[in-house]
Amino acid sequence: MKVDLTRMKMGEEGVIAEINGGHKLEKRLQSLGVNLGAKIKKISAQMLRGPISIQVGNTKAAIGYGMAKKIWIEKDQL
Amino acid sequence: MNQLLLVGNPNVGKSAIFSRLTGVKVIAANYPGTTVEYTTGYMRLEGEKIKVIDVPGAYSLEAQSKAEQVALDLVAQAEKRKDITFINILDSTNLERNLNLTFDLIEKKIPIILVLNFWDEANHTGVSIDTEKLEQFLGIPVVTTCGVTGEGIKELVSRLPEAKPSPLEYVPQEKWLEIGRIVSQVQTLSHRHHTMRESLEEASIHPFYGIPIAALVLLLSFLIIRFIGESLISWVFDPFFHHLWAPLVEQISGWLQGSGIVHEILVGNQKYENIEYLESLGLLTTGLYVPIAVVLPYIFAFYLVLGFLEDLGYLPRLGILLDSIMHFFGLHGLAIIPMFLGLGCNVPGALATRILETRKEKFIAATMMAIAVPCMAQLAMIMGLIGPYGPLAGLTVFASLFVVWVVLGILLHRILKGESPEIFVEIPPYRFPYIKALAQKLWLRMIHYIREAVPFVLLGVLIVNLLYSLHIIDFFARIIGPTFTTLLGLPPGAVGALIIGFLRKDVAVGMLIPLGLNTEQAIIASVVLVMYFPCIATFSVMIRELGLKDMLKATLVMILSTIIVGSMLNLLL
Repeated sequence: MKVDLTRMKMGEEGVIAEINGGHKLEKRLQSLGVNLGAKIKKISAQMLRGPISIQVGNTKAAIGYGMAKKIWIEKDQL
Repeated sequence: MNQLLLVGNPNVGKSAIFSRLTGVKVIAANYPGTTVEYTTGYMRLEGEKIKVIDVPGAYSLEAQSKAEQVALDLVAQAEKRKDITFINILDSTNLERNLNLTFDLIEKKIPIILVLNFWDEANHTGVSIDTEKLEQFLGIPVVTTCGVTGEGIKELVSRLPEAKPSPLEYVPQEKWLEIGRIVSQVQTLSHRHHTMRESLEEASIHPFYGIPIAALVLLLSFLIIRFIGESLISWVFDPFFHHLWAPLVEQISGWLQGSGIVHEILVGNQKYENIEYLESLGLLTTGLYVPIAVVLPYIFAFYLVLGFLEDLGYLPRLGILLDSIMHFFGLHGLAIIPMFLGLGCNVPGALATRILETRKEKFIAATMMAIAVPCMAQLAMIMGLIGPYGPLAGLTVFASLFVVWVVLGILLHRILKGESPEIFVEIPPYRFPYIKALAQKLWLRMIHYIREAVPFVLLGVLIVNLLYSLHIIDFFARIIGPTFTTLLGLPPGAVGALIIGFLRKDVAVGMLIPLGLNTEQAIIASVVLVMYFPCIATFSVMIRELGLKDMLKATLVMILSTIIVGSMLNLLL
């Protein structure tokens, strides 16, 4: 099942299946190791559509809600 | 080789290694983007003097932020020359992601030496890396270091001449696959349980526990700063000034027979015995007492706590928690960092607006900070001025400034055009501050304060005396005074404080003390002095950061909002 990052629950893991934000966002995410096919874990989400915190490999990062909406995760592939 | 370039991702400990190599001390912190400008130093290698450049942290050579643009430009310049060696510093606990930049550098066919920093931390967290294998794969020397303790630095220096371009070839589209392949062969991760540190890391950005934790951290910080500041004042500095320094000043006052222009300037308007340091406005009294006995203890306490929070890695987490709120001001969470630094001194606060991307964000953050965030020097003096009127008066001042901060942010966001990008930040791991680095940073900031502030305070006091004796303040008080009294309810004498506030705000607050203001006037005067204009040092930095045009706009906002808020307070109180 594919969902965007904002719809995942805290602590859930999955594989990055799609990044719909254009080349620029893709490059930016890539520099933190957030690539297509990478295993990703959602650490937390702040209230009021606040930033989403994720972990990929040993890197933790926070990204805005709008960006998180553009990242699609395959949950069953693990 | 006659130049070294230190490159690496943000927050991999580059600055610590830089200062190990060159002896140049730099202010570092545990969050991305501390170094936005590059620093240059020199080291000796085999009798030769070599230039070393600490390049701002970059995740890749693709310039997605200002810091990365600076890094890219430096690398591009270096590429053209054959005599430059790159020291690529990596976070050992995060090899895979860090290799992205390494691969970008490899493509440039420049001499590189790889440094795996935080080696001890990697060992503790169950990451082990076969450095020999990594050397074979990449064809460049690899050394391991622990920047804060200095382990491995000697080996790094001795192996510098071995640096060479990597022979590795790969298909650019398959960069990540290639990196993954190498990492899987050189790195082994041993399984371990959730550590206490990780639980704390997660709790502090948890949607429910994060906010109470933040409130607790901020409250504790405030209490600790106040406790240390007040203790230093009443146990160290006040006794010194009252028991050791006072007799000397009294003697000088006696020699000068208690009057004359020299007495005015040195001792001020009081004479012989029981001189009130805050009221006399002389170079040897107020001029030294304000920067050393009132402000310095608070500067020390504030930077001790700030340095601890910085090195721990708490500030970006605070930014994440406050992100939604900062959106009301057209900013994202990281804009809390310039605000926080501004509480120490507005100058580093204005510089820190560089971590924001767009012109709109920078303008809003810098203007909000300059208008509504008082620096520690001013805060300490305001507490001194307002203290005798009771806690409610002090609370009114800070509540007013907070309301101004919020309303101003919302209005600026509504009025200004431009983009407000979302937060995008790496969350650093908590690292327990290394005491020696913490002490060094605190020392640097104190020295900076003493060097910058004390001469300006003395100059301020000197100018006050000259302006008074030449009746210039009286002149201005007569011209602006009436408006001042009608609009703000302040006595004409307070005009002098506004004039001196351009130079130093702490001296300006000090000038209010002898005026015998009532509670309302003390509140209004404190708020107005914080808001109306930044001190000259902040002003010049803001011109550099925002450009002249935006700074003129900001100045207009400052003056207008001061008049509006001052007269509103005058009506309400």
